[in-house]
Amino acid sequence: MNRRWPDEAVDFGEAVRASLARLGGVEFTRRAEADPTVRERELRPAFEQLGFPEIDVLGSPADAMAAALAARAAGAVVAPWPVAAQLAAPLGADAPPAVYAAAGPSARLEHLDLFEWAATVDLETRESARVAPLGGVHSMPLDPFGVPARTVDSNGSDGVATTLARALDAHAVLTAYYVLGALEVATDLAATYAGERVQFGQPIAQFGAIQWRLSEVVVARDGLVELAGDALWRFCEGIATPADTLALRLGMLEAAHIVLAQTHQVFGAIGLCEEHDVTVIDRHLQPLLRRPAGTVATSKLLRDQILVHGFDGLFSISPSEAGQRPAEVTK
Amino acid sequence: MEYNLGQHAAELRERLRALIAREIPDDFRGALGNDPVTNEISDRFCRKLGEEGLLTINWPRHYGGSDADVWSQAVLREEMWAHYEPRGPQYMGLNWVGPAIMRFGSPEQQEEFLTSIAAGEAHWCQGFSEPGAGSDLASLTLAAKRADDGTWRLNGQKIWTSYAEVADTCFLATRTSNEGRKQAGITIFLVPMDRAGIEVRQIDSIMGSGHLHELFFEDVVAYDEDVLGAPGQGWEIIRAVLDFERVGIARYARSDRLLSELWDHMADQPELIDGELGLRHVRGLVRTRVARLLSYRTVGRLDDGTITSGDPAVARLASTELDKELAELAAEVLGEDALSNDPDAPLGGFVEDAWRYARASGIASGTTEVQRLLISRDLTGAAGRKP
Repeated sequence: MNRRWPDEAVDFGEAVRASLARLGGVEFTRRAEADPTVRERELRPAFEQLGFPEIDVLGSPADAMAAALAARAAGAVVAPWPVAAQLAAPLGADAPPAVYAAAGPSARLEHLDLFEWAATVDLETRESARVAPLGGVHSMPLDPFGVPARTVDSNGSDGVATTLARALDAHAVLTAYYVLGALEVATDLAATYAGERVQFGQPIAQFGAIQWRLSEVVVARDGLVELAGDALWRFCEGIATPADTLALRLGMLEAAHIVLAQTHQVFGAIGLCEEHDVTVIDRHLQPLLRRPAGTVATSKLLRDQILVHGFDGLFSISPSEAGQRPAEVTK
Repeated sequence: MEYNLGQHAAELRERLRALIAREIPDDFRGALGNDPVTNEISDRFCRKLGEEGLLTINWPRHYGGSDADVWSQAVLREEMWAHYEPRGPQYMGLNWVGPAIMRFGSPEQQEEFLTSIAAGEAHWCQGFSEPGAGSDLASLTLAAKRADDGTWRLNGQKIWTSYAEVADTCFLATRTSNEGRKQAGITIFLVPMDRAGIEVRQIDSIMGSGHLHELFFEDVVAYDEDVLGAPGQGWEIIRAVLDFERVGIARYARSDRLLSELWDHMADQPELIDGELGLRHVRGLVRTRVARLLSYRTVGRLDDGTITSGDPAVARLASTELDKELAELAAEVLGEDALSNDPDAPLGGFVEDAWRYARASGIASGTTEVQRLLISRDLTGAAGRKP
């Protein structure tokens, strides 16, 4: 057991963090929401300068770890870029420039307008498809960079799709790190606020009700730190099953819902304001938490994958004999 | 980066499971103070562990241990708890009584107690909690006063004591002074349980009989040789004991086993897997994995010296909340059968026991509320503390 990150990965994550800070941090995200073109003008060059297009997440464990910390740094300012989708993509001239997770046909994908086309990989079937943007960003409060998508064709389960299936695992891991980065900031903001905000003559951090909420937040955040680390390791070792990938997504969703709801409550009314970072973080994470599958849908997908692949634990669950339910499947 | 306990840990786990399979009956649900059958199973198992060099693996070599690394200790904790702690009361001697005596005990105490613990022949109980001192342990009042003849007299009450009926010795926290801070007047005695004036009363509880006891001390004579460390050093020793126990019980290991057995049970009834209970089950699997990983984080940070006061509390809170959630899930899955403790009931009556025991999981060894307080204070620092 070794939870330490390689120095190179830490350095890369810090470089990404510094680069995003120079652009303005969360303020840049607000600007991009008002004017999505700043992503191309300012963010793409910054990420290209950092070497994003050359990061080989699928081929190199060292790159995968660096990418994870890059995603965490990007999440800390909810950077308006499909970091996980881009970094999870295979390298090569014919490879898709981005890989998204899907659950059935994709009607909208965040930031898809940044690419001429992209691949989706279905969380259930692991089959891939080519998608293309239908126009530009159609912004909505909970889907600030949503882009209508059309399916160009389906690749099925050929050799390319096998690589893309691994890209789906990478996408889940990097998405979890992006979300984690955001949740860590929300937690720190809430902790600072609870220590500074005085009501009834004392910081609200001294009230049991606030302490209860903060403890919920910490357990959720720390749990995701560990679950993501374990998933990243499984991915790097090549032992991650589809069930592991979905377990990570489910753990991420539960952690996010707890942290976002509880930190909002700690802030009270001020946290609802657009000028407050926690509201921007909350809104901008929602597409990643709802698309392609929310908590219940992810739970169902996980259940089905456990039947096929089992689940690793101290008392591991074995795959069912036929790879599915013993009796007739009822959905 | 590696999220794997390694080959040595895997081999140890395999060895422990083989030993448990040979020595522990399938229907074993823990050694209870009032049940000679389970106590004998536990004693026999401890002797076997001792013979195989597995009983004191966490101890330093010069005290008869193996200097096992922290991950071997983690495996031992997991396998013992997952199989209903077949070491019974002896886990205390191994985990914290022995280490406390190593650090604070006199050479005579070390000779007397460490040898018997390592041989699997010592049964301890912990005399900490009192009716008026639970989470606020420093408020304890059981009095130890000097008598005219130079010995001590112990008077007062302890409560919630596990294994008091079978214990040979009590690790007893007493008040020897009311001067200054309340933490300063605490002294630890190692008191033989057969001393005149000690009365043990069983408390029937939802966990079943034989789990909890009251101890009454009435003019019990104690000697300077019974004092661990020095008079007034008790709080320091208690803090050290809590440090030894910081990682806590591997509750998630039993959760893992419960979920695995529950899944097998549900697999025969597809409507259960397909429905809400199936979804709750898989969420339980994820939370169990998280609880295990949080415990590993505590172990790792304890080992490399980076631990904070909140780390163990986070792991404990994750585990204890999980315990309750999964007991409820299992009871829902079994329906009326969850009421049965019959070994012929589904999952061998495992669920009935798990449900009753889960009621205690947020209370024993530090309440949920105290864990939350520690976590929150760790997050907010000085701002979270009352002036």
